[in-house]
Amino acid sequence: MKKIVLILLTCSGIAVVEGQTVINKYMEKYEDDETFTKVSVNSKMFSLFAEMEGSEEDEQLFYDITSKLKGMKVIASEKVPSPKILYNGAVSDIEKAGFEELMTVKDAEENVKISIKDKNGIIEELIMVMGGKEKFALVSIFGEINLKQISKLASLMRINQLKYLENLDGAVD
Amino acid sequence: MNKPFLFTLLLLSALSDFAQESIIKEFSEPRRSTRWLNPICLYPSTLRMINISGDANYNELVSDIEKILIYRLDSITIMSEDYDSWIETYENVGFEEYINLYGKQTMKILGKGEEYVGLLKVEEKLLTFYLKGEIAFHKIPNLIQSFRKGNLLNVLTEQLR
Repeated sequence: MKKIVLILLTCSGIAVVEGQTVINKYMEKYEDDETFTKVSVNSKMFSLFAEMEGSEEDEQLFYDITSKLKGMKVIASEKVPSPKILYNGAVSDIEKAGFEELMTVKDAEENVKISIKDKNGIIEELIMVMGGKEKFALVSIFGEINLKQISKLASLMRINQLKYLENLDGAVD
Repeated sequence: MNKPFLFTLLLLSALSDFAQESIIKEFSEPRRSTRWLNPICLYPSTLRMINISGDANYNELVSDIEKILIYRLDSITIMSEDYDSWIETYENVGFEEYINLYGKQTMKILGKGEEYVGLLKVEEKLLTFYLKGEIAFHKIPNLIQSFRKGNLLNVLTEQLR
């Protein structure tokens, strides 16, 4: 019995550690590099970055969306020497970590790839990688994610890198 | 509930609050840059008093705040790499990390119930703060705008100079 409990505890520990592994890797790698801004926000503080013009409807919707989320992490830089290498490396890390590609946007300025990871039909993490001519950003949103609500969340938050998530609105049924 | 028990409960609650505020005080007090000025300490009455333009949104924002304490720390502390060492002490008493932003700027906010502590480092300025009460965080950007527009008496001028 003790062994079973020990195994269960070990497995649950692994599950916790497994979450956000890709973004954590980049946050640790560039921890001391001031050209990268690193942000970790608990869902309780999402409202600090929200832009709501006093509309009660928006406020209610915002709290409905964020109530099941746990948090968000962002690492971004406006000027990296080799953004293409960084972007390709992140895309490869995301694929290796078992994420499923949801959407890709490519234009002359930027490449964006949005991927998700689910467990038992529930999306637990959404990760977005963006690479531009000089820019790079990696965003992870984790918790219980409703894709239909993510684009609305992105539109309500004053975080530049989230603007690409607004495109999800048309990509999800 | 009998009176001695109720009294003990209230006393313990008060002591607990004091202890949690004292962690940031003990760290910041000997390190504050403006020794000739006291740290900024705002209570409901002073929070309302600085609203010289009578901004209703501001009054609503601060209506549930019981106390704000702000320290500006000295340059020696800024240069040291342990200006956030006190955060671990708060984590040990159950405070949860709400925001951790680092890079060119640093912002950390931790919270537990109706108490918040944090630090803000922008360029050569380093502030630590303690807040007791509730605040609508999404309205803070508007509050900053109010400070910039001069709608509020700028009590931070000397500390942020």
